[in-house]
Amino acid sequence: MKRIQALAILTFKEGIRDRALYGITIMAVMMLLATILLTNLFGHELGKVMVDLCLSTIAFAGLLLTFFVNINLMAKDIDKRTVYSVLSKPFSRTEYIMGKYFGLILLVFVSLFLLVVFSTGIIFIIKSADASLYFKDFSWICYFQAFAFQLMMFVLLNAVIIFFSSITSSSFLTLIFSLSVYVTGQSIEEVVSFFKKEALVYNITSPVNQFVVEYLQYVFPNLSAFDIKMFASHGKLISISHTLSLFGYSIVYSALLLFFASLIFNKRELK
Amino acid sequence: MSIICNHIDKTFKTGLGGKTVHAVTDVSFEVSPGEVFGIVGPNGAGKSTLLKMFMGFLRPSSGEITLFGKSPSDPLSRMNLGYLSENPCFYEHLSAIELMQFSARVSGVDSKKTKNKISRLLKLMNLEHAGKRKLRGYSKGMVQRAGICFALIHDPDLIVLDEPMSGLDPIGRKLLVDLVLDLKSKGKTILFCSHILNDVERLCDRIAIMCNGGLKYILSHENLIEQGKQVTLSVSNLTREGSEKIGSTGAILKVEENQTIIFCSQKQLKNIMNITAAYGIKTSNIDVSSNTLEQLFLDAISVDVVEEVCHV
Amino acid sequence: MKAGKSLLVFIFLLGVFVFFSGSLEKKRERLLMSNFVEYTIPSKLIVPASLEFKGLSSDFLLFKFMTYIGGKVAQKSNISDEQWTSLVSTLETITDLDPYFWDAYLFSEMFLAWGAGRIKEANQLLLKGTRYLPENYRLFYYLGFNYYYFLKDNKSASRYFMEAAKLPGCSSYVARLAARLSVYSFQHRDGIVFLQDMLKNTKDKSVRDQFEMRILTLEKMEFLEKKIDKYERIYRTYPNSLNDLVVSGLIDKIPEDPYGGKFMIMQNGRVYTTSNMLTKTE
Repeated sequence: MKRIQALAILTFKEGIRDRALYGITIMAVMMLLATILLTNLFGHELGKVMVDLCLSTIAFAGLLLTFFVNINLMAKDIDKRTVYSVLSKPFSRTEYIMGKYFGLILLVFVSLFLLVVFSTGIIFIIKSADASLYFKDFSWICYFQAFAFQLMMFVLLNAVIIFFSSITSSSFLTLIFSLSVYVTGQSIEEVVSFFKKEALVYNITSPVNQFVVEYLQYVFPNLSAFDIKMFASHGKLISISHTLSLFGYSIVYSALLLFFASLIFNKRELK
Repeated sequence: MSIICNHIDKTFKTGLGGKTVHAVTDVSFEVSPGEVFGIVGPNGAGKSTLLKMFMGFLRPSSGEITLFGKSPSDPLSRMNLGYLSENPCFYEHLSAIELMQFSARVSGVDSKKTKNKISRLLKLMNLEHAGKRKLRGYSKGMVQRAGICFALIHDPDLIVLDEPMSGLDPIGRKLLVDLVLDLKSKGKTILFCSHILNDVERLCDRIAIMCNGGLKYILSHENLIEQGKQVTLSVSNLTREGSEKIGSTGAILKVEENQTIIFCSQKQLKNIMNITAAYGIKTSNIDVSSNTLEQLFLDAISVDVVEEVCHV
Repeated sequence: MKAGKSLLVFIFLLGVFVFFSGSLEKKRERLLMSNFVEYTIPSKLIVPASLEFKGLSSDFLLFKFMTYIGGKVAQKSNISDEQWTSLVSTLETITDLDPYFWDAYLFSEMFLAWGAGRIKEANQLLLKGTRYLPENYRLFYYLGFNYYYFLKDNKSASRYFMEAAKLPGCSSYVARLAARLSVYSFQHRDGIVFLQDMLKNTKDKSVRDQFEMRILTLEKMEFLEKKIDKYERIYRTYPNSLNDLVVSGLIDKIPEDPYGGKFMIMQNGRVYTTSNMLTKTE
């Protein structure tokens, strides 16, 4: 446990000092500041637009972090042989995977937390300056709930990253695979409902469609379930039971991925 | 026994369905506690591969390895172990102090004592001024020395060094040699591999010579000293008395048809010269070689093997 | 010498850059000013392609919609039929991306119904909205109004007005309107009330100006119709033309149509205008 914690902090420190992180943070801050410019343009639903913009910026920053900084952290470790400095200590391969994973998560959480605090400040300023008439659907609870859901998505996505990193040490391949899983994960719900509707309307189901609808959909993580930005922007709160089951889904799926990752990594030879 | 390896084999497949490379073939030896054990060999001999198997980075294709009675796949086998890899690389955005803190913490060093240990080691390795600097700004030699600090912070009983001298300037090398001798005096076990025969000769209790994945010789220090009869005299008309007298100096005599070859060290040479002068023994040839280990090394490798190595 | 040379090269490049930027800007302006129908990416593509940024995409498209219309208004230029069709599909996409986006439905009513006369499409969108915003009385109110005011279908109108009246926030005027529909016919006052309500919810100055102009026109027409009724009560017959009202002294002069047309009287005593402000583009 102590070892995993030490490695997590080490990974976090290494990541947070990477220049790429500065770039991403600056970009995100710029985007949030840009929201101030937009206050004059939208009519009724300024609250909606602000929530959309802030949460989307945070999501986008998290994606950049995950796909570029985090993948790099994993790939560089093997490439540059810095992994030796960890594995020459009494670390098991599994502890290594866990330590790296929690380090990546910590990195994403801290960065996004900073962004959400900043965005909260901006929304607060605009909300109190402009008539609350335009924020009538706005709810702080919903906003932070959406943020929490977003964080859980990154818990899952980073587990995906770790999984692919354990298979290949090429950062490019890991990026391609992880990106594909992300896009699929965001679209799978829609694709399945499309197939189901088609089946209803045309009353024919090809065996391929059935296979996808029944089984394959569960293989991919349903990432769109973590996207409640639209609900948050209209002030619709998600129930506690729904929240808990989603969080559970994220944790279990991540645990599975980490399990396989450590199995694979245990067999790996480090030349 | 600190390290035991039994009939270790390691083969690699190059690429997809490519040739099999025999990196290590049937290597067995033991390293006793408190011993300084050196492995020498040409490039590609399998030294690093062997060390990596000890560390658990690679798994032997067959054979057994135990460190302190535990298998390398057991992480606890590395609890009391310090490792320095060849061309070491560390997380470049961290400072030497942070790395050492990590190393200490993970190996169970008491957190209160860590600070002192770190400053002491940094001082020892001449890195005091650079302790807080990020490793990005370190020169190669500095990285090497930081690596040594990293490996020693938790005061391990077994230290494994892969080509520790590479990248060090003469000052750095002296530092390292002094360090190894110091560690030896404290009863630590040290295993290292190197190209530089001089250092190996100076420091090691035992030396293994590897070539092409196989273990050729294991020499002990006595062997070396024995073989370290660096002076070779060819004499004739050696009388019995004379040979007895010469033998008593500790030199080795080898009787051949027309002559006797005397192997002795440079220290004994003076006495022997006096004896040959006194007994009227004729010296036809004096050969002074200073590289016995080198000789043995090349011997072990032998011409055809060298060719093979060159082609690989 | 070297520094001087570099400076010259820099100034030259800068000049060339300014020239090309300027000419590009002019050409772009000209292109965008022409009544070019922008190709809209079909909703079926945008929605899945937006991944988890659907809300943001809907905001962006609405912004585009607003600036497009705003631009046309500012230039006082017409929007062609094809352009309206692409605007309709834009609103469809916006509501596909975020079906809870109230502003999109508001704009459907404001611009598609009142601006372009595309009542059917407006109603389609409004109906979509009622699925997702069932507590919002305005959607039913707009639907009811469209049937009543534009499509002259009192039966459907009454039905929708009833739905609206049930919902929170709806003034009792609507319930009374629903009741009245079966008995009395079309009145300009309803249009005025409707537009005044719209006015309350609009920040955009150009849109407000248009609504105010329309309200003014309707008020004038209502005024004229009241005078016509008075004439009928006095003379027991409808006037042949609006001039009769002037002659009889009921009005000082025939009011002007802010849209530039002429007010005319119809056989049943109703007033219409030749400018037919309903179908005039905004």
